Amino acid sequence: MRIEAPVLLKKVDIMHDCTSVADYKGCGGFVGFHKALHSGQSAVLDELELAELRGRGGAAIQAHLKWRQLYEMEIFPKYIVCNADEGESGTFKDKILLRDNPLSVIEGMLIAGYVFGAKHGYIYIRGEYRKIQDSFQIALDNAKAAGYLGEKIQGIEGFDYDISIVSGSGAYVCGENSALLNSIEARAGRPRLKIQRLAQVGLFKKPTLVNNVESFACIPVIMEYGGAAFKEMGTSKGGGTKLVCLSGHAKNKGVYEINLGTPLNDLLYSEKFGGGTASGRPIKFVHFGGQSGPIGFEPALNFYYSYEGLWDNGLAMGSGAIVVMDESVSVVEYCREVMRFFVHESCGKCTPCRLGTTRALELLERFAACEAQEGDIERLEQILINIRNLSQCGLGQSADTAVMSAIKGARHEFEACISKKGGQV
Amino acid sequence: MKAVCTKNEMVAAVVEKHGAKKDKLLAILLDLQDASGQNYLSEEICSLAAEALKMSPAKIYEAATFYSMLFTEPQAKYLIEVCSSTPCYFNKSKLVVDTLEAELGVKEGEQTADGLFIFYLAQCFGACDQSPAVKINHEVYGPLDSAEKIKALLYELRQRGEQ
Repeated sequence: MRIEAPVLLKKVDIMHDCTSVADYKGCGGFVGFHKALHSGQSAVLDELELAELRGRGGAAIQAHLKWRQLYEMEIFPKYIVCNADEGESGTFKDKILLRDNPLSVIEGMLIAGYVFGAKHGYIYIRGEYRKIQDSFQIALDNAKAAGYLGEKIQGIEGFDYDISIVSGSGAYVCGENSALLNSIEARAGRPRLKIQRLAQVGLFKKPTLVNNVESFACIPVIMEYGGAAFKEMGTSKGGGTKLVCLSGHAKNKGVYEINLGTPLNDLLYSEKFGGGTASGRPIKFVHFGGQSGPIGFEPALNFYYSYEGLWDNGLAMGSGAIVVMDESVSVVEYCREVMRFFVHESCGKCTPCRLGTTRALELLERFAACEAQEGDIERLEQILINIRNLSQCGLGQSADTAVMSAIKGARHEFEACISKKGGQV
Repeated sequence: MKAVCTKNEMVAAVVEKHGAKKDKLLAILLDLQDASGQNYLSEEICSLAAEALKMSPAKIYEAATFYSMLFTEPQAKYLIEVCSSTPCYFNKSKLVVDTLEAELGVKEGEQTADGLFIFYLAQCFGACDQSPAVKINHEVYGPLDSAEKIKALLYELRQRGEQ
């Protein structure tokens, strides 16, 4: 029998104090960790493979591939890093886990520490979540006091592991894993040239695991219920439940935990979820997965919300952000604001990204002012392709996604902005 | 922060709170910025932080100039960041900007004469369910979807600021 959501957020309504180990254990907390200890490191990897957990930060890579790669590295020390730099617009689900179920994230990082024999874990929490950093520290202190962090964890000789919080300071690019590691190392948060993977050369040049907050929160669930049960919560291309964030013009904005495979129509229109638009106007388009994700247009949004459901429709889940826009919004203006975000957040290292996003914004401003020239759509597309192909990191490599999908789905809106007057570019 | 006698003591207290480790650099700089009362890191504070962390001042400035939450010029007691990412932009963030301009009599990036306020357009800080959202120092407010709500917030901050 498939286990129904909520699973990640189930304990939230039960616990009186979510930083309290007693409250957390009172509703099943640390059961997954004890099962991991009992079954052994290799068994954890097997369960992870059965679970088909895809990274919840947005890249959607099978977690067991990353974990096995790090497991096979013969270099120590190994580091465990949690990416809590949640920066994709429309995404606020890691915030809920960090604030309302911090021990689930700690338990996931603890299981990882056990599997890899790590001595230290870091959780990089964005600077804008400063207050949540304080409450998360309390949860860490409580876990240590209860013998789940620090030296000789649960009395096991040699099992010494601790977790520190590292604060971000307002840089979306630090959500890119290698930039995040640079930031922990007190450098500017610019991405690295990844000739080797982070599992080989990571934090302080040592083998490192970097996973998203929600991914870590899934680990104790996988160990508690078993990998197969986790897989069954989802669909053929990915197991588990997913935290989705409804915002924009959605009537009932918020974070919702759903089984993968829930119909998108339910998420958008059912009163249980988005409830349609706040204005009552029809939904025109939905921006999936954050600024770096694709835009899908009604009436083509009638499919199941799952990895393959989105992929089969030329879309992608990304972070789980679902930004709803009603008919009052011009697609061209929306794209302009998306590009403005990338201009601001580009770290500046790669000229095609730094300059390309600026030029793309200038073009989009021309479109939005109805002053675009003949050939500007093609110029815009070429700039976007160049940014994608010539940038070193995921920021530049996905800066084109939203605008390209908008041109594909609503080219007529861009064409309508082309000035009929002659004149030079 | 308790009142401290000298900048040296203040920096020492902040570094002791977090630990003199490189991975605590940003947390330390954010606290030092808060303690300035004008939301910025002076050259003197950066030098003291560099000494305390055994890093070169250039490395401190690398961080202070790279990250958008850190400022090296005096700002104001209340640093107002108006989210202008798409979930807020298309949920009346312009109303927030227009109201701030009218009420404070300044444009983006300009400090008010009394040194209390300055505002900037900012990128998403994860408050999309409260759009249009605003972050003031470390507090998030929203939805600020009417001029009345914005004026009430400014009034409350002015009262606090003048105490």
